[in-house]
This record gives sequence, C-alpha cells and structure tokens, in this order.
Amino acid sequence: MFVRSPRDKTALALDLGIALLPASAWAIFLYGGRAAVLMIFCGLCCTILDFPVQKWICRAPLKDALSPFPFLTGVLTAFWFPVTVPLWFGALAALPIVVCRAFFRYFGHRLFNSSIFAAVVLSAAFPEYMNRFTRPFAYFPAFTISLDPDLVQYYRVRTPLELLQGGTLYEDGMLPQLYGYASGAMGAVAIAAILLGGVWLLVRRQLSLYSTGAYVLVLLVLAMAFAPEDAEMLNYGWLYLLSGGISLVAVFSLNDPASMPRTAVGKMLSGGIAGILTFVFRQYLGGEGALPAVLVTNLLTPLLEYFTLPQDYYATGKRRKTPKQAASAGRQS
Amino acid sequence: MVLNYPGGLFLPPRADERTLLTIVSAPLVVTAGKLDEVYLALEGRSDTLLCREGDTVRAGEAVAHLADGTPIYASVPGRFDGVFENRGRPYARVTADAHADELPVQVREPEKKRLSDLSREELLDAVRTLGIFDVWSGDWLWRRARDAWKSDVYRVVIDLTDANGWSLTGCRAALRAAGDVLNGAKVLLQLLGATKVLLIVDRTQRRQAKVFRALINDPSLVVLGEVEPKYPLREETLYEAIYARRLPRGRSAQDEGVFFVRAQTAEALYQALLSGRPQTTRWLTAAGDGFGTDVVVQTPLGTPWKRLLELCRFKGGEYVTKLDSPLYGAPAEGVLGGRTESVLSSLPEKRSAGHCIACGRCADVCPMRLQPYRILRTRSYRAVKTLAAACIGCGCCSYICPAALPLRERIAKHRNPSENP
Repeated sequence: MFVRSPRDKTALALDLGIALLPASAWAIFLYGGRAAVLMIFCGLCCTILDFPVQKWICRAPLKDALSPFPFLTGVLTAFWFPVTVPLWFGALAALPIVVCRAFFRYFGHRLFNSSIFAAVVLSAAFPEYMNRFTRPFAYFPAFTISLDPDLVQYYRVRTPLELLQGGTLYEDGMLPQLYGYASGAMGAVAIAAILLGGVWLLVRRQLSLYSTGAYVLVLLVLAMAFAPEDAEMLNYGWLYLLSGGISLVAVFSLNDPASMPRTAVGKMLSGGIAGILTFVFRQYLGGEGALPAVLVTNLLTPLLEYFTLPQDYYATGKRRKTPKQAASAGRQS
Repeated sequence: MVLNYPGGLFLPPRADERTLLTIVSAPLVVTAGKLDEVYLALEGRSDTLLCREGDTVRAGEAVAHLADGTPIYASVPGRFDGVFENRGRPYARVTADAHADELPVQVREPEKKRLSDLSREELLDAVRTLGIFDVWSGDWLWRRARDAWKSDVYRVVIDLTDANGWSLTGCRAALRAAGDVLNGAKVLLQLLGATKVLLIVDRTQRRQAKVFRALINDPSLVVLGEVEPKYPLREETLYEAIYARRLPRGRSAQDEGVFFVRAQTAEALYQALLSGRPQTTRWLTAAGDGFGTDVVVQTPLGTPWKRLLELCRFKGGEYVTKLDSPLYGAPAEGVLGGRTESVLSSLPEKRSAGHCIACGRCADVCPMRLQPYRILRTRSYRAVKTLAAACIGCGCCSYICPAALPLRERIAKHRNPSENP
C-alpha cells in the first residue's frame, strides 16, 4: 500500500476552520473584541484540557492528541454564547467538550455532538447568562471577566426568536436577519456568513444536503402549517428559519460525521427527526429548541444506523435473521 | 511460403478525422522501439510448436498452437529461441531481428466481405485464427465468445472508463482507434447475436464523450452512456453503475445477458479483420510521477516489463510501479500479458496511522457496501469474518482514511491469517 488520499485529518480540520471564518469575522465586526477573546479563549481551553485526556487516558499518539479539532469545537461552542457571558464560560465549556470527545469513541459514534452538548449543559446550568442578548454594535470591554449586569441590562434587546415566541415578528424584516444585524448568539446571527461557510463545506464534500435539506424543509413545512392565524404563511416560515440557531445547526451540527448516521437515508431521517423535535421543543418548551433536538437525534443515531446501514454484500445477502428464521432456513437446507 | 489469414471486411467509412482533431489534443504517444526479445505465453505440454529452435519468424507468424487450436503469433520479427519456463509457466522466446521481416513472402490478398454476409461460426473462427486477446477476462476472445453463446447475450458493453478509455481517445495518434472501437463493437454484435452496443464513458471525461458523440452514426445500434462507477472498475461495480441494480448473487454479467469488453479489444478485433493480420500489439498507458510524462504505448505482446519501463522513461529509484491499480496492483515484473492495460507509479507513502475519527468515509467509498471501520471496533468474531469474506481488497478504505489507518491490511489478515500483505 503506497497511495493515500492527500486529505488527511489536518486537511479536514482546515476545511472546517475555513468554514468557520466568515461567521466569526462577522461576530467580531458586530460585537467587537470581546467576541474574539471569547472564541479564542474557549478554543484554547479546550485544546489545553483535551491534550492530557487524549494523551494519557485515551492513549492517543502525540499527533492525534495535538489535533486541531478541539480548538475548532471550542470556537464553534462559543458561537452559541451571547457576547455578554463572563470569560470563564470558555473554561467551563471545555469540560463537557472534552468529556464528549473522549468517551464512547470506540462504539462507532460519539454519544453527542460535543459543541452542542456543551452549549446545552451551559444553558441548563446558567440560563440567566445564556439569555442576556444585547443589541449589535454595543461593544463591551474585551478583557473584563464579568460585565456589570446594569450595563448589560441597558443594552438588552429581544432577539427575533424571543419576539417570535412572544407572538410578534421581528420588525426590520427578513434581510437584516439574513445579513446579521439582529441580536442573538455570537455566531448564530449572521445567517449569510454561516451559509457561506456551508457552501465551502459543500464544495469540499463535507456537508451533505440530505440532512441539511431534510431539516430545513421539515422546519419550513411545520412552521408554515402551524403559523399564527394573523401571519402571512410563507413569510412566517422564512422568518422562523432565520431566527435563532437553526442555520448553525443545519450547516455544522447536522454534518458532524462522528455523531450522525452515515447513509443517505439515515441522514435524511435524522434531519427530519431533528426538524420535528426542534419545532416541538420551541413550541412547548420555549427557548432555543434546536439544541436539545440535536442531542436527542444524536441519541437516536445508533438506532437509525441499525436500520439504514446496508448489509454486507455477498456474505449475508439479507438483513440479520432472527433466531427463528435462521432455524427454519437450516431445516430447509 | 504463403501466409493465409481469414478476414477482410467492409464497413461504412469513419467520421472525418480533422473534425475530431479540433476536439482532441493531447499527450505523447510512442510506439515501442527496438525490442531485444519477447516472451509469448503458452499453456502447457500439449501445445504444438510450429517452429524449431533457431528458425527465423516474421511478426505475425504463428510459432505454436495451444491444445484447443489457438495460434500463438510472434509479435516481433526475429529468431525463435525455444520454450523457457518462468514461475512454472512456459513461454516461447523470440529474439528480435529487424531483418527477419524482409524475407520474401507471398501474402494471399484477403477476400473482402460484408459483415452481414458472415455467419457467427465464420466470425468465431476468424477471431480464433487472428488471435484476438480479451483484456477484460485475460483470456482469448474466441473462448469467451463461445461461452457467451450458451447464455443469451442481448447487450455488448464497451468499457471506456479508466485508463484504457483515454489511452484510446485522448491522444492524436490513437484517435483513429476511436472509430475502430465503434466498428469492432458492430462485429461483436454480429458475433454474439446481441441487439445493441452500449459505450460507457466516465462522467468526468467530457472530451472523450464528445469524440464518440461525433463518431456515432448509427444510434439504433450504438448508444453512448456516461456513468459514474465506483472504484475499482469491475463487473459488479460497472453493472451497478449502468443498470442501477446489483448483479444477483453468484451470477456474472454474462449470465444476465450483458457482455463486457474493453475498448482496446474491440479496436484490435476490427483492425485484425480489416487488415487480415493477427493481433500482435496492445495499448498500454503509463502514468504517474515516476514517469517523465504520461505516455500511451502500442507495445508488442509479451514484452518484458523491464524494457517497457525503460521505454516509458521510468525514473526508478524511490518510485514504485503498480500494474492497473494504484491501490492493489502488483509491481511491474515478468512480461506484459493478462488483463494489464496500464502501469502507474508514485512515491511510497510514509504517513503513519493515527486514531479513527469516526468520519465514515471508508463506508462511503466501499464498492461492496461494507463498513471497513468495523474491523477496528467490533468484538464480534462473526461480524469480522463476514466483513473479511465479502471484502475484495480494493483498498479504497485505506486510500480515503484521513487517519491513514491500514484498513485493507487488517481486513486481509482476518481473511487469511497467514497472509501478510
């Protein structure tokens, strides 16, 4: 064996990093240096905490323990934070990420998508910090560890998602949401920038339209079907898709190979399930329903794999036989 | 002495070559230069030698008959040196001498016949006498055609994917071959009693598809199809790419009525019937960093690999050669023969293996729809055996793995514990 694809792990990580660039650049433009500090700090914390775990607990070779993936996961996790969170959130987020990365890796899948898991853990533990969304272009000091609550309260605005769940629509309409002038989590506001990263991943064949497409379509259909009576159906559907972190989930989380099914059918099913769950959680639990929806879909992944993976070609031919079937087949022969 | 070949054929003229030249421009083609010696593969003790040691033979003159009457022709003019054995297989050696072709000879002009006037039996006899070699199966074409008569063949598929496709159409001097492929396909239709020819071209080879679109003048007989087959290009994968369904278990494409032929076999068949001279050469593609430039060589059968590599300007040293496949091909040794159509070279890989990142790419690329990553994780003996039994060892998983895991080698170890690739 002497020929190998030049696309090794580093190349894959580089692709992901490039895809994250537009959204992070926009976050820094919108929320100032504090956004950059949060993202880099979170990434660095993950890298530093991940190394000893991988090296001495998982016994990975040195080059694997030094992989760039934990840094990227940290940055992606910081995308889910509002810019007003204290800086120690970065260190706190590293813990669930490292746990998620280290466990269950030899069962064919990770249990959860690590960045989503960290975001869910943090928003469950600190709901008051994770919901302090401020208006864009309100630049906070970059290196202050905890911001003054009164100052944050002064700049606090309601996000399109909060407005949507309160029964009103975002007044400025669709385009500012698409460009990213609305308020929200750091990385999730700029839909256009996320889509730009998504196009790059699509070109590099790291993004599958099966899962992303199924997710977006299901959500669009559900949002239009359950639109309030006084809202215009299609307009409401699009606004629903643009609100919150749906695009972030659709582009990055649903295309995480380590926690999502591998086949086309499996991807479509998981995308559809994630869409339905997102809608249900948003409707009945409030808050960003996409995060727990992805976690539940990740839990369903082994089950989906069981039913959708193709069977070994000539060796088995048919689906796994039940003991009864096997016995009767033996009797016939 | 009278050389008597059957053959002589009349088919409609080809498309204008100049229009094709506007579509294609391309790499270097060399014809094999002066060769020292060739080794012609024989089959065993029951072969009949037609020459004695030291006899002078012309290119295209029979030196032996196999047990079932298949003639073996000298591919270069020179002196017959007797039979040599290599790895338990006999070879007839001919030492080259350019003057041998200048001996006086009277050739009977073949009688020109229309293709439609020839019966299947006459055609089969011509294919046998002209020594047409089938690169797809690595056997003589007439034997395979005779077998195909037993199963009802309705479709002839000319395979132009992979190296053989562009060696025949990607270069100027070989352009003539493209028209011959089509005509050869029509002869095969008659020989096998099929109804239609399907030319399959790789979807990425736009230029090649263009050439054939310009050439096809009889769409009721010949159809061009662009496919996206999975590597490796075998009967199973090509059949699935064309018909969008798998071959039934335990059956070959021929059993299903589909006869696969490589493009160069069709070309050689038509050329031989047209000129009345037996097939003594084969197209060979040499590509990769180890060669100065990619070349297409029309080379005599039985040429030693050492000489061929020299001819293709192989750099040697660190570069490694592989026959036909960069992933599982054997190194270039012995003589040119069998199913070989290309030789590839590259530097050996030195990257060391890491940890699996569960990306599932190995399962994506596997042509047999297996899950190679299972070999790393599963503790079930049965699952491993199943995986190892179904694996065809193509090496796609090892190629694509971003963590550089030796998946193919590990699966091969389970298939046969004594095997150590």
